[in-house]
Amino acid sequence: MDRHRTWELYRAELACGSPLLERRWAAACKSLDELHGLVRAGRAGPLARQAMLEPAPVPGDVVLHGDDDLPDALGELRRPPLGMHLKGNRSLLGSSTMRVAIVGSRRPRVHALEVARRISSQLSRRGVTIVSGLAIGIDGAAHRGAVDVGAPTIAVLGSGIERCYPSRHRSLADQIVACGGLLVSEYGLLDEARPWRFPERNRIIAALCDVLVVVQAGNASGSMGTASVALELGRDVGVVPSAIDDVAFEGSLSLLRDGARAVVDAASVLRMLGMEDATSADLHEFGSYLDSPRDPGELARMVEQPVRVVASRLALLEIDGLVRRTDDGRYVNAGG
Amino acid sequence: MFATTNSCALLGTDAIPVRVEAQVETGLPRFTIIGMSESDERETRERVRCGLAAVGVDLPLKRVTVSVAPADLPKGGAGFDVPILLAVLAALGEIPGDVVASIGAQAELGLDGQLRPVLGTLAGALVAARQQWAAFITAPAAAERAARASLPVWAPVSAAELRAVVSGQADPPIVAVPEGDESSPIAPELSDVRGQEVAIEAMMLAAAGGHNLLLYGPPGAGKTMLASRLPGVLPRLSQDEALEVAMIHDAAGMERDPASALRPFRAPHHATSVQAMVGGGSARPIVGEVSLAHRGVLFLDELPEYRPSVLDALRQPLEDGGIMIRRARWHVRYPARLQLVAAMNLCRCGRYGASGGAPCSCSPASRESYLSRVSGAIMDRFDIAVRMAPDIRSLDELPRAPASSDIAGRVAQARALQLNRLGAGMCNADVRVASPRALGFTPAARSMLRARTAGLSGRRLRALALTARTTADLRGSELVSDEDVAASSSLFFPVPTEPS
Repeated sequence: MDRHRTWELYRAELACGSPLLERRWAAACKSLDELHGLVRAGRAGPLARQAMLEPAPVPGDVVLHGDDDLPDALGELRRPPLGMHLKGNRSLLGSSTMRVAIVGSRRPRVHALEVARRISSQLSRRGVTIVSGLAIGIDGAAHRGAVDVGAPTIAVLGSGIERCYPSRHRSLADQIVACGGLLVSEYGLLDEARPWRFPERNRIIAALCDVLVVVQAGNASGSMGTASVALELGRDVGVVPSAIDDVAFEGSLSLLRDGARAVVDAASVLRMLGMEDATSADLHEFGSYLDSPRDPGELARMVEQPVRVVASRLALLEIDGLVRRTDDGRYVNAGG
Repeated sequence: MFATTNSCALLGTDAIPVRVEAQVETGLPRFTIIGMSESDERETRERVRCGLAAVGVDLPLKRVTVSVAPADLPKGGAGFDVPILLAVLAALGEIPGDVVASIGAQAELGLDGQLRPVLGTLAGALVAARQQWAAFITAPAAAERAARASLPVWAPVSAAELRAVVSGQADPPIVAVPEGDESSPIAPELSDVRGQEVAIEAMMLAAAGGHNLLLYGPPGAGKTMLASRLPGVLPRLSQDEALEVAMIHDAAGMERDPASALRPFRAPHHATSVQAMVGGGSARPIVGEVSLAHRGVLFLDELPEYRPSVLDALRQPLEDGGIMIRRARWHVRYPARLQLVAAMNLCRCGRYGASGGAPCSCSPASRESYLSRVSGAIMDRFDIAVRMAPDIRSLDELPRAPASSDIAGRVAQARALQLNRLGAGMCNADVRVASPRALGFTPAARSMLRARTAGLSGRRLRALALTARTTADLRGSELVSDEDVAASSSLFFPVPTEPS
């Protein structure tokens, strides 16, 4: 049996299908062998039958259920993916790298974005591979943090790789591949993003990672879904805390109440991974004051120096690349 | 007989001297006025007839022709009623022609013969002073204003009184220039503001160098409040400037004390039309907000809410200091040298970048489209952009801002340095081409400037250079140091407006 072909036909059938159809097919077969059996038995749908008549397309970069380089971690899922399209550095799926997933809200607080980006950069510098979903908001920031330091990151898409959802992250996706990263999709190359595909993609993220970090999650959000799959699989879940009455963090807080670890910096995550916690020397005099975005005026009060002096120091630090300006005019530590 | 007198036609915010002539000759009885539009002529004729009746003079059974010259000037308004009356009376021999020829008048006649004021009286009075007419006649209501032009102003109540005065039978009711009263309007006081030290610095910088200022950030930070404090720290208007500003307001029909040395502060609502903003109008020129803000501040609150066409129309006044309105029959240049201050949120719901409270509910696409409503060309005009966010410190911790007078003093000193360097009436923001060498930048300052503006447009380099120059002026220093450049670039440089 040509397993590639089988999977192609399966995807063709589901290209414009409904969640019900996908579930039914998925429930029907746990392996490509079973799927192949169904197809042979003539139970394939009209689209698949049509595709069978056409010449087989070039398989492209895929990894299929049963392949050696399909990560074992994915097999732990109740319903492992039957196949995935890949673009980029395949070896990132191997088990030699530590993988940390960073997920969160699509409408994050500005400081949450900064935290995601910074922790991502710092972890990437230590050789950890960041996994996320390429969504707008926290996911984007997580990928950017890795790209900022030229490190590879894995993006698990809720659409086909060629379709690249969200479209504004197209260039980010290119950058990810350029930095030796990997794009992964359970769907056909041109499959569109559909609402039911996001929770499915989240389960892959949960399975692929060793540790999951939830940066900002509201109640009943996608990130909460990812967290529950991760907990089922026995992964360690870390949560970035916030003010206790911040409604945008309700989900995060409930996870903390249930015993998730608090993540306040990259060191927290490194400890969860069992990696050595290197003490980072203060790269500049403002140190951890700038871990959160700060107004120059605010910073000047905190360090008790005149604003003008602080402002000119910030300019020099910005030139040296040690601090960065957020798009609402505040300053924050850049990367590690 | 032939008689002539003088008057003024308001064109834009300035007045043009006009000659009113009257000719009485034998012929079929007719009363015609030429040099005006038909409808204006009809109405003026009726009012003048009533005026004649009020002084007990009948129109003779002759041909009476009045001309208001030059003919091609648009002459709206009823200001020619009184001069026409005078000219006709002189042409009829009722009053001495030589007196009438040497004076000027600008007022409307009521049907009962009372004098009424018209728009642009102050402009008219200034023209009268320039032309050195022996006296300027206007309605009592406008007399005080006109008296500021430093020439004799007569303000008779009725046409009858006017006739008596001109004939020498009564003393002219000369209007005295009012004493400068101490209750001239005071700008809002800066020390009402609490906290926001950086924003206050920005405002002081903007005042000292005449820079355009943008305040951005979440709502509730006090952007509008701070902007309204700006006139209180700007240098006071000189006497000539104050008169000029009063003239413009008078032409627009707005009350303004000509003695007031406070710079005008205009804050048009964001539903304002292009015409209302810059002026125009087809039948007659309308004075726009930019002209009312001449020599003062134009404040645009919630900048992206303004119509793009309106913001675009601002480019000419910001560039040229004036606005040229051209119509088929006439063209007029309005003065509009102003300082632009604007406030804006970073997204439609306003909460982007706020540290607490409800999260921002806008998608990045929505934010981008909101920010792109303000074109890059307008954004570029702001030399100084400063972030203002609600201060989280408790009320006791929040220090009061310095008093307006203190800041005004520092601003005045900085302006004095600019006067020395650039000449009269110029400030740093007026400099077209900023050459760091010529502006007194140290070598270190020059490299800092280059480093901070790498890859940015020439406009941004100019903005940073001039802002740094003003910073140095405020310090009282002749040289601009690299710290000046560095501090200005961190505090006051606009952020890129593309959300990540």
